[in-house]
Amino acid sequence: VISSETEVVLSPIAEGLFIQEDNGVVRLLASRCVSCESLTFPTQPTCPRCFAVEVKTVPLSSRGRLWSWTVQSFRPTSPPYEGPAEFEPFGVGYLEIDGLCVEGRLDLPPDGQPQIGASMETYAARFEGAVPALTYAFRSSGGDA
Amino acid sequence: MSRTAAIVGSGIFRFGRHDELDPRDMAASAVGQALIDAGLNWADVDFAAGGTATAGLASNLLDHLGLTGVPFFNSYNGCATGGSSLIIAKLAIESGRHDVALVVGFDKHPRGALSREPQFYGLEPWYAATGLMVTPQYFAVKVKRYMHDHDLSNSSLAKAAERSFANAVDNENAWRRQALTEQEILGAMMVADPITQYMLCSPGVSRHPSTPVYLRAAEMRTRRHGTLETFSRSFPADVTSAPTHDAAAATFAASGLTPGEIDVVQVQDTDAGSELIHLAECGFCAHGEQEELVQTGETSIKGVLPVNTDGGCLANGEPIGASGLRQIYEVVLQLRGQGGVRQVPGRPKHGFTHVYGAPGVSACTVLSTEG
Repeated sequence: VISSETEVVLSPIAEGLFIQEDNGVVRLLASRCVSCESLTFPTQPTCPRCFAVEVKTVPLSSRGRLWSWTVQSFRPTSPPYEGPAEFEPFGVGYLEIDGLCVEGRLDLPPDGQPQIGASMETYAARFEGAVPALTYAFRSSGGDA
Repeated sequence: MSRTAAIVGSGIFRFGRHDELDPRDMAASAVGQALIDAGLNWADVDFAAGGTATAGLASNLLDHLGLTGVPFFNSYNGCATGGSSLIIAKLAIESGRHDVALVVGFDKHPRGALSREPQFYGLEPWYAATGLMVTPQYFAVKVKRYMHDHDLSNSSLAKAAERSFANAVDNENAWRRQALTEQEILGAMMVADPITQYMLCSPGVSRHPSTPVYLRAAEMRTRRHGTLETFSRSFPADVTSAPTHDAAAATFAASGLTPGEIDVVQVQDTDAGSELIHLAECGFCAHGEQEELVQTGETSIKGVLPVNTDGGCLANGEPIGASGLRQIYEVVLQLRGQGGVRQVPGRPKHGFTHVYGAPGVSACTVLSTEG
């Protein structure tokens, strides 16, 4: 990656949460149990369903459907929250991807009322924390999941 | 071994914001009432269990009550702390090892949403740093989906809250004692869509003759794989049953009673939506039936299913350690026929309590005038 002098390359907010492919597509990383195949995000070394100790890290599909959502309307207690002092309400929701519902920040449509079942995609969003970083978030993808 | 534990004395300290008071003084006052109510001395107590979230070790209370050497088990289980302490004491009594147990819970929280370091729940720093570790989000997301699946209206959320505040007007121990209309509740500040300020509890223990109320059953369960709980970063889309369902089913099985036989109910109303979901998860109605129950007033004190007769968490606030035991106190009062103007008519015989806490734990009890 080549950056100009004014452009800062941001790091992911934590290692192992997601990958960004060459075409810009962002895929979350989950662990898949080798025994029962259940998926868990974020990855963990054992399966929370069957307690198998052999799991594999797999990238999830970048698209899914909105399972449910809300709007965080007040600034969360800080610490541990690290967002800007000037607070803007933000969306939070679960996106159903590959049969797994994953929690994340959510870009809200202009009317502030996303539809349950809407097609959405994962992307890398700039998070203005103590150190600006990239986190994953969900936004409308328009097409079918 | 077939002993049934009974509640023979209870006490409460008025819920509210008591900036000037040490939480241990509030708890000691409630314990004193309970001892007088039971006609016992502190030295008679041979077992104790209790918990707090943010007021330190509950056993620090021993300095205030008297250092008798009594075994005191500290318990903490989020908002299910009170229920957990009660189960520990119940087991101690039923085993025959102990005869007189104290169960106590107390707390004192700063204003605003409760917050912990993510490490406390085994979570990574990024999760809290990006604003995802906020409990009202969970309640809002869960009820939003539930309303979508079972056709519940915003009006029913507001009506459930309206009933709790109406119940609390006559409860001298409640924190919020002002009646609010459905429109005032719907129009209040939005905390987490669809939950407004007055649909959400805030983090925030009389005397009666000694008539035993039997603790017929008390069971606790933690989350199983596959459910949406507080701080779930992910969960499988094919949802399995919630810990509330599991704990309630186990409690009814152990009690020999069914939900239809219960005369007075306390369910965890961290928010108005939770109350509605928990009523179905505990077995008091089918999913979706809440709309009609609430809209027709059947969960009010004179309805077929009186719920949260003291105003619940919404009107009492939720000092975590004390909250589950407030429910027990209220049901004991109702079963003794001492509810005053908020007494459930028709001499209730059986009562039920339910708590739910982070990160996915529930405890229920069945209380009865019959052992």
